[in-house]
Amino acid sequence: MVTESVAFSVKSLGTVSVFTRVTARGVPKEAERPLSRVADTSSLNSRSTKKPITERSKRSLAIVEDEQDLLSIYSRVTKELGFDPVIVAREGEDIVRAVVEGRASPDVVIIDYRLPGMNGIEAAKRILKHRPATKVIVASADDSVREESISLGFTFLQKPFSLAAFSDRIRRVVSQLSEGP
Amino acid sequence: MKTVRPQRARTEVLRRSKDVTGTIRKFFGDGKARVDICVPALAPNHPKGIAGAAEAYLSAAKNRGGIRLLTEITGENIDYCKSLMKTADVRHMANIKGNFAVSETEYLATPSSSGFSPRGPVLYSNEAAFVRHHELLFEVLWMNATPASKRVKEIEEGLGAAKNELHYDPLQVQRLYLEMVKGAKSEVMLLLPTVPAFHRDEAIGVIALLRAAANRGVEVSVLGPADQSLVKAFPALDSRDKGVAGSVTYKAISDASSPNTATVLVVDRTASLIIEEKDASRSSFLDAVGAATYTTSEPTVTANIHFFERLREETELRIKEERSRKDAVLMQDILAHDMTNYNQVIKLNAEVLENKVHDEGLLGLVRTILRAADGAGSLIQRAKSLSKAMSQEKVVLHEVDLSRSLEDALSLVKQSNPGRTVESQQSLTPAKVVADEMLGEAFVNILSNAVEYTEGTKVPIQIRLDETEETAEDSGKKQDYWRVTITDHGRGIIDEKKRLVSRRHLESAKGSGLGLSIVRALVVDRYSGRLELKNRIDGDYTKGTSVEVWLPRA
Repeated sequence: MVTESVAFSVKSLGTVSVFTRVTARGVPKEAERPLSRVADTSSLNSRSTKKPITERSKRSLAIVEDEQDLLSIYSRVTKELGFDPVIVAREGEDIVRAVVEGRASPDVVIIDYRLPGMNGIEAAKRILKHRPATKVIVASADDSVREESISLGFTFLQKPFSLAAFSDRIRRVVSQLSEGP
Repeated sequence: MKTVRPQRARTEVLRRSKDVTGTIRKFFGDGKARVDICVPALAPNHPKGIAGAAEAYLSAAKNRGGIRLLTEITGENIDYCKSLMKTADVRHMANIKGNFAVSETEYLATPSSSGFSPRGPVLYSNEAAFVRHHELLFEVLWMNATPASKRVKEIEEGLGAAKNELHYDPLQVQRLYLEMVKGAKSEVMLLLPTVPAFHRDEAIGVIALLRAAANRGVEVSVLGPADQSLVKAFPALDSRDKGVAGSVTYKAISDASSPNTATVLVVDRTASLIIEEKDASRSSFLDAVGAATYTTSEPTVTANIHFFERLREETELRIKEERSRKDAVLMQDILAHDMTNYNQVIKLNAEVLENKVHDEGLLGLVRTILRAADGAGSLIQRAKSLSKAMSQEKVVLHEVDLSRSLEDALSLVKQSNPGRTVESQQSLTPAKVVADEMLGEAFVNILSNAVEYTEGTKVPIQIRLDETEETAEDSGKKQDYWRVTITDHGRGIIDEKKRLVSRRHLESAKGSGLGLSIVRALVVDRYSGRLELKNRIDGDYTKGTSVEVWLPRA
């Protein structure tokens, strides 16, 4: 059984214990695993992401993706875009539980469709029940969920996408968010 | 002038020796075009009654023809019958008791072979109604009789006479059914038409007998409905019988392959039983079955074997296709999800690096990674398209605007290759073909290949559209096509590879980035069109390729 570690730096903003099910990648059953918050401030110096897009007010973002390397790169890029905190989860149920229990309040959720257990769209719908203002980006290779995603008011981003497309979608979503604290 | 007096119509029983012998002699002695004779088993040493007269007539009428003799051929009279076969058309019927002869104009009968006496009685008639009646009777017997050559072969090869029996008594049918399975020595073929038929058979012990047959080394093959209860029941049968000489194999046939409602049983390739299902709703075998036909007749048993084997082959083919489809779906899934995720990781990380690295040398390496990632992404996309085309169970073709499809594909390829200038010359006219929404994929692949394999920034491509037709060699049927010719100035395709593409699409995948494989799968396999690859310049493949796509006109 393989226990995977989070590759990016994590600033301790409190550890949230989440009980997870067995995943295809070998996460132990009933394992205690932190729902991570990313707060690395190193500069990305990206042409497309040079200017933080949430500089006027900190926005919270959650990434739900079961592929560890993707989780890492999404986190890095979104952190550079100015999101704070960046919460990561590898299963839909983790993020739903965190939102329901008030441990996470994401303004934006980037979520894969195919996840261990609950699928991304189902998880997003449950998040919206508790936080209707949250904006959802479904990032998936599965084109068949495009229509459903769009019909639910989500943004659909088909993999593989470029860094520019990723940043652009996030900017657009953030611009739709109402000004808030 | 000679006057022919019409014969007086009469029907009478002859009892006087003079009348009997005179009438028989006259009947067989007249120059009749055809005489049909029905007699019991002939005994050469003691020809009696009509048989005796017929024998005399037959020997006198050698090489004359026109005689049909229906009798019972046995081991005792086989040689005699073989000699009769030289001058008459002979057929065999077991236990035939008739003793009559009929021509176009006369009918003659004796009460029985043993009862013949020169003193009679003999029944004679030349009345049309009687004659016609017995002509028809003879025809019915003749049609149901076995050709003498077949019967002779059966006797000489030690085989029993072929049996053809029709059973209406359900109890008798059940007994016969069980006996046949129980007595199987080498092979049992069983087609179960419905799920209730399986349960009824199970109740009367047929399934247990199948298992017992397998245990003693008999190959048991069962075809039946794709119902879970059967699918579960038979693998259990299979596993229970592992390690024994024989086996029970169960294959679920699709509903479309099984329009019949009859149970078909063939045992040892020598006997078959077809049981009608009279009332499928009844749970009792005796209540549910109708008539049953039992036969050991070689042609009929062979026909039943052929029917069963054909159905089994179709079923095996369907199972194989379903497996391939599942494999294709799995491949599609792997490509769509896992491969794409890995590619996404490479792409985003490389792009982040591209923004951070300032060393030109390193930047070149990063850009190489990005180009490779884009190439992999494109390949994944194409493979997904091929997999999707292969995995579709039902393809619904409809009218598609060919010109529009070409224009869209061209536009997409231009957008996908921002660093290249695609200089296209096209003369497109309104054209409708029989295809579906995946048609554009074929053109995207052809055009993408053209861009990929043309050196330099500029990519000259000519697209031509014209009407053509082809007449099928076998049926002579004419088919109208729209022919799209896409010509590039790329590095070309060697002749061997061109041949591979035209023969088998998967072989052509090597080195062509799957592009032409997809084109072939779509154009040839999916749309029943044609794909032809030619050199732009005859005899020199290095100067570019002309790809001809023939699509049936809507």
